[in-house]
Amino acid sequence: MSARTAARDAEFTAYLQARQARLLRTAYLLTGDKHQAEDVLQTSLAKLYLAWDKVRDRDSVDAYVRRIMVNENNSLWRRGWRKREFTTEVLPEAPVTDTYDEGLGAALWSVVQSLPPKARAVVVLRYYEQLTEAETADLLGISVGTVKSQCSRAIATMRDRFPADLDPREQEEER
Amino acid sequence: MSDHEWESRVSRELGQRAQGLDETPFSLDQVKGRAGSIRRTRRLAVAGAVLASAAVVVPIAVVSGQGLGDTDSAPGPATSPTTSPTTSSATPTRATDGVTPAPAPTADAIGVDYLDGSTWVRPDGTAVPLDIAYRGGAVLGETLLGVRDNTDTNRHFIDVVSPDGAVGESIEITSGLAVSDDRSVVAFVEPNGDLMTMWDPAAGEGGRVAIASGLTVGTFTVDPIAVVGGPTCGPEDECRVFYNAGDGVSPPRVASSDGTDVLVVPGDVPAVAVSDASDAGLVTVQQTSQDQGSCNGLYDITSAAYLWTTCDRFLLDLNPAGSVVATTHAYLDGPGNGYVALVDAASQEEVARFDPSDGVVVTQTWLDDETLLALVLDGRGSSIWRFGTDGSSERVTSRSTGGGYDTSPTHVLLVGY
Repeated sequence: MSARTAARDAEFTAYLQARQARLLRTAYLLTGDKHQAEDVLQTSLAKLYLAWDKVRDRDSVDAYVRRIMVNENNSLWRRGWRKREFTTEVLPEAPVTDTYDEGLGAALWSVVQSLPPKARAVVVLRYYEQLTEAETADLLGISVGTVKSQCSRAIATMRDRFPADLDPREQEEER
Repeated sequence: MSDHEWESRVSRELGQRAQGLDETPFSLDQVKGRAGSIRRTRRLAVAGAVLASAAVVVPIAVVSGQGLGDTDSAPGPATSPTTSPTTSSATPTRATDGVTPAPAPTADAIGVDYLDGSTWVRPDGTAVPLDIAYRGGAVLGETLLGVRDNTDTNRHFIDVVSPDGAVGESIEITSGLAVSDDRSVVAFVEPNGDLMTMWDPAAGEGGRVAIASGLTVGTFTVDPIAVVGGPTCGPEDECRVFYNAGDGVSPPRVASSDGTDVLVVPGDVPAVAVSDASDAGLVTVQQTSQDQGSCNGLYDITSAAYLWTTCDRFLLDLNPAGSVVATTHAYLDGPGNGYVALVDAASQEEVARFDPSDGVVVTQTWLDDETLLALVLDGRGSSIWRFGTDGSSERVTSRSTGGGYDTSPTHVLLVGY
């Protein structure tokens, strides 16, 4: 292995150690499935590794790999990944009602999971990654207006789908 | 509850859902393993894209700092707006039977045909609207050969498109599309394994011929890389098609219109792929490929010997005269090449380098022996640059999309696929 390759690998290893867990969490929120998230993450990291010489000197490595993850997830979705079924010896978990919020959290998560991949990417980047509307638009290659409308639509969907007794406003009032 | 309260609630919920996922499941070796797989797949898939084109370069200082900017190419003059592709800077129109066509709209003329989204831009800037945005292609005379995929069936086609944008014949292919330096002949592989050459799409069987047959290697189909000779591959002319085996292992071969089909590099000399060939008898050859890079050489068919070899560069394209070879880093992959360096074919000395500081070079093609066109992709969009061997440089058209590196460039240089 050349000294240059060794140096590149050392840099990349440091990046892996520092950022991988965070990226896995984002991938999980994008995909809604841990195995799928790991697959998206591994492919995205591989693509990042291949382009490392080009992006490592920039401050935008996280944005670069986030963009790859979003595209990978959209690609998986287009390829019908979600139609696959896997056999397992472990019984699926029963629906969980979160005790901390009397089921509101699970209901919110359900809504997020039901969003189309691109809309969910907007929600994850805005509300989990805390990117600005402009940053989200830039990363996804869409307009700020589209980010705003996707977010508004997601929030409107939540309003529509929530039973009144799960509406946080109602909960606040009851308290 | 206000939108802000809903947003805060969603933020908290997402944070709690992801909480506890503190694993770092992948080691460097695992990442590199997947990267190697991706690279091999890409090499096989895009080998045909790195074909009869080459690059002349420009000193770094001339180019550095000249990113795409935020300015799209200037719109063409106002025209009768019958069709307006969203990705085009021009407002093209299509002639309609019985109706006097409006004056042809124009886009940025760069001297050769190219695609801007679903618009075919002719060398003089005339914009021709197309039904779809092709991912690659070539032009033979006045006919566009647009390469498209059917993603549902995973089949690939060449659409034969007339100058008014109408699609005539569609030809199924299982390979890339190679085109000669003078854009007179193309080569591709049909599903039956025939290596086809075509020089006159409108002439039916009189404008095309198979110069080799049964070309499959296991499950792989061979990929034509370069066409030399012509102007036809018929019996009156001599032409040769250099092709890779497609499996990344078997040595490259060259099929000729005289019926021969031989190894490009005979004997036990290593060679796994070719990336270009010139009428001058020079071929750029990839000798070996590893995860960390590749070793390559400039091979002279006449003397049956390598003029030189290197493990520091990947050889892309020869200019038509065979005097300059465009090269890039030995480690190929990512959305494009980080730079293109021009190397004197005789002395192996680097004479200039084009290193778009803010992007990567996706494809390049020689406009003539002194001028290179390069398609550059950066985080904001794509642009086409013209570079002269005298060091001059000019951005001839650009398109800001904000799509990032994983978005396909809006522009397509019609140098095959």
